[in-house]
Amino acid sequence: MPVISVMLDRLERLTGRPKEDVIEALPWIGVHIESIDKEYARLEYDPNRPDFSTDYGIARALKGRFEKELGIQRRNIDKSDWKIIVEEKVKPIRPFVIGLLAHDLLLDDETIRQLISMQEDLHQGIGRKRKKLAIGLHDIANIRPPVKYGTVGPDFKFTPLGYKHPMSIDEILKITEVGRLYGPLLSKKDVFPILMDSHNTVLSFPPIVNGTATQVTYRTKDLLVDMTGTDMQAMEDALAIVAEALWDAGGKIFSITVKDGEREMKTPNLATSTARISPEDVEKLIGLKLDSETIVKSLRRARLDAKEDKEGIEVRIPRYRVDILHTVDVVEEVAYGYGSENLTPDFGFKYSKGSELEVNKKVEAIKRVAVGLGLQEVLTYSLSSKQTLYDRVLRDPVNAIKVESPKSSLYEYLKDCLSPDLLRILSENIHEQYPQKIFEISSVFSRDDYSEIGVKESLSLAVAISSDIATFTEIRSLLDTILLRTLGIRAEYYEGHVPFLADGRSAKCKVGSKEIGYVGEIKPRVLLNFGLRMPVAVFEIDLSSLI
Amino acid sequence: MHWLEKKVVAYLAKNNQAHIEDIAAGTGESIDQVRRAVEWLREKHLVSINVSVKRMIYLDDKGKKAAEFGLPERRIYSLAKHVTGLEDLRNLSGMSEFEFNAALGRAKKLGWIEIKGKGEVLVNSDAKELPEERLLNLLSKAPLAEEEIPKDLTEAYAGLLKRPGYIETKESKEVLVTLLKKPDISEFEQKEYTVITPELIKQGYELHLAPLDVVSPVPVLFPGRLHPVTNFINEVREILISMGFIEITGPIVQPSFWTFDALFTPQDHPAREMQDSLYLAGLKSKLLNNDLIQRISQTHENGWKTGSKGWRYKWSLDEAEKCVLRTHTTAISARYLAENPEKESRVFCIGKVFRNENLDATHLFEFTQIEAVISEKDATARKLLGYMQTFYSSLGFDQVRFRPTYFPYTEPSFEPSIYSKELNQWLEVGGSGVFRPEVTRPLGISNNVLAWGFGLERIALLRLKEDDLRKLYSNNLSWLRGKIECL
Repeated sequence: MPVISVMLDRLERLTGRPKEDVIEALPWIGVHIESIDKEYARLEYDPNRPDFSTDYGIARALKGRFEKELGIQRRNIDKSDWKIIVEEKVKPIRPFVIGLLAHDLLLDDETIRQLISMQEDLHQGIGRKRKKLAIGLHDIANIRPPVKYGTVGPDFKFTPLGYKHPMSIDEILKITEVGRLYGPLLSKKDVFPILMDSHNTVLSFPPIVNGTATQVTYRTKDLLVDMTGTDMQAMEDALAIVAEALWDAGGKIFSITVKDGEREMKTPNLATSTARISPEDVEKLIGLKLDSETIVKSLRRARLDAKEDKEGIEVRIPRYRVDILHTVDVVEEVAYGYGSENLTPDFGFKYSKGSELEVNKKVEAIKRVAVGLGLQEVLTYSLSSKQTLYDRVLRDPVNAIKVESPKSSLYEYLKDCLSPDLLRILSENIHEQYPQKIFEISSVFSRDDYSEIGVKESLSLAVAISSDIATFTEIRSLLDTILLRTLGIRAEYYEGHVPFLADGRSAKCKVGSKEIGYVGEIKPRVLLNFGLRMPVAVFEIDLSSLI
Repeated sequence: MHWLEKKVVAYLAKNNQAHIEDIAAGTGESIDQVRRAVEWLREKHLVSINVSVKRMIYLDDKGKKAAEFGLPERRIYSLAKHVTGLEDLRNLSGMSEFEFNAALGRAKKLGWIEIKGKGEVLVNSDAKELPEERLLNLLSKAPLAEEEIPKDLTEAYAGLLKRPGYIETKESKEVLVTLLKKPDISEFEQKEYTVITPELIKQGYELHLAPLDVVSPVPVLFPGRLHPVTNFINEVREILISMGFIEITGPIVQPSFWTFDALFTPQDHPAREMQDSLYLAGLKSKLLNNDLIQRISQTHENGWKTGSKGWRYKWSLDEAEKCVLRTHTTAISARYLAENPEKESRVFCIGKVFRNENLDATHLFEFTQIEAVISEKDATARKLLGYMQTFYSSLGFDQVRFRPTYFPYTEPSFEPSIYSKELNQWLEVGGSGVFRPEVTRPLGISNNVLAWGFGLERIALLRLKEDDLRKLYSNNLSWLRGKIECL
């Protein structure tokens, strides 16, 4: 989940309430406190609330809860004559651009930090790592409109933000960290998107890096925000969130006209949307019987507008609340506004008869008998390494089921049998007292082209015993006993080759005509592969075919 | 007097003087036991001991061979009776060049063999047994002390010592025990028994049982037992059954469709990336229910008939067909609901779930999830809180609180926390919520569906007073064997 750090003093100032009240209230607006020190708090917010990516957004929600402000803030967008002109050539690479102007800002260091952290969170979250959108913040003092959204070649040079000298596009992509990270988002190797003003001053090379000429500092009074991307929906969502934060930072918002051929579009688009709910909706979903008046007030505390009419309650949703997709989201806002802490558990359950899975009952019975025979249960992961599952037990990974890009080679393969990991466990316990007798019942996996998923899962039972006298006789008598006393089955044994079992001291077994598994002493070579110094005997059978 | 001492004294009373080994053989006790008893008796001045050192003679490797097959000169002599040429003799002897030459030299010197002209071998008819051979024969029956060697063989003994590999000598200590005071024999005539045997029981009267050392340690045993995580799973299962839940199960490998798409998780959601979830390489599932696929893809794209805006992107079947190791058992719950859309039900699933994580003290790539689902006409969020409160307090956590949170497939959503007295802090234990209409409607469900789930291992750690998740699956035997079952 995304995390932001906020200054507690600023939250105090923005909400007009003491720190203690703020800290106490945060969890109830869906913000989790990760840590707090004297000055700063690190807050984790849910990814559906990108408006919480600045302290302004969090303060906005808190002010509702504290009833300092209710409902949607009335804001005005003034028109400006600024234009961004979209050139045809850029559209196949990164088709869209929108933007806004914010005038008369007073940017202190902390405000700049908040804006940059918001920019980064929007890039990562709804921007899906800048794929869907990238945001640029610019001081307009050095920009001479109109702004062009066009293309340049790989040799085009400008000074990227954070560097002293001009670099070519090619160099930026190869040398800078952002270049290497986000360069792959650009599909073409010879044409690159660029935002520059009428005198060819570079604002931004999206989605990689801004130019240094339009850098924002504490002296900046007037901002241009550009947003380029591939998903207009996400871009408008993000720009609405940015606009809201800049308003709260004291700015005046002006629109920009995006000119794409003959089409002109005024941005940002901050139109509200509407929804309708009724007290019955609240009662049915939440279990709270609230009157319309309380619901309206709760919604306004959640910073939505609401009014009662003949058919129920009409709700207006500000553009920046991108999390609201359905009336259930609006109903949840009622619960938030009413106070989640006021939701008491309802214990009025009807009687219902519970039951355990039949297969589990049988597995538990088998475990009881195994334990009675002196076997210690072990539990292993369903995934294992190539070394354990194949190499050390001399098995061929020809039908192996591999997972894609695991972070560790410890869990690269889905297990098709349990015995190799039991040997691994014994090898990790060679300093413990012998005899050692262990068992496991778990799922194993094999390829199955006829199933929906291409994989067959079944339950396997494996036992491994190790002592100076661990023999075929002992392990087979354990297998015979378990089969006979848990399932009433007698298996037949016949010669068969298992790569890690000693020939002549191992056997396969079947019930009726169905092969169910194998039993035998482990080959000395395999014992050595595991660093085992004591003889080991194992059996493994397919339980699914028996229970 | 200890019963061991009594046994030794009784033996000595008959023999007066004896070696430790003989006492051990005569009493049936081990040599160590007899040594202990003799030491105690010596301290009580009842016996004296006399240690003598003897040089014992044993056969070495060559000596053993010679005792069985004869000395090399004897072997050559026997062979020479059957061959005529020296070369044949050499080849058939099976000896090394050096050994053969030495043996031949000795046989010639003894007058057993003569070599004529171009290697013709002549054999003397009479070759008497050598003193060396007699000595080797004696030694092959039992080792001898140096002073036990017959006088006429002392020369042969000196000769064999010079021939490397035939005999070896070792010093051996002999302890001779002498009884100093004849005790009252009657005290020892009464037989003592160390083991109660079925035969003894049949005699039917009070036996004179030798007292045992009841203080010293006895062998340690380890019972067969269930793994602590299994015990905890069983406990959780019992609580849920008692709350009226029916257990369900389902495959670990799932199409992305059931793990994510059916749960309204958009296809570009970060949780679906390979960095977070484990997909199976080269495998693709076959989705069969086209109507359902249609409903769910439209719900993602435009909300379908759910009343939602949807996520507004182009849904891809390809992405939904990927095989993923389930990231939550909600995939199983969703399938159950899809198969029983109208039924009011309470079900739960306990199973493994997977994340692409590095293994450390607080993260597992594979862990156990418990999920409970309630599908009822009049289910509400407040009822969900009621179920959770009941569940966690049955598990021993009386203080439970709920904070609002977010999941793509539930609305509203809550995060339950339990208070741990040991750690003196609140711990988040999983997530919960009411399934969104975007999840239930495409599956044909009109009930409200409540769900809560949590990872079992974190609470298991609390129970087991451990702080490292890896320990649970390390299968360290001293940890598994050391657990106290009744805690």
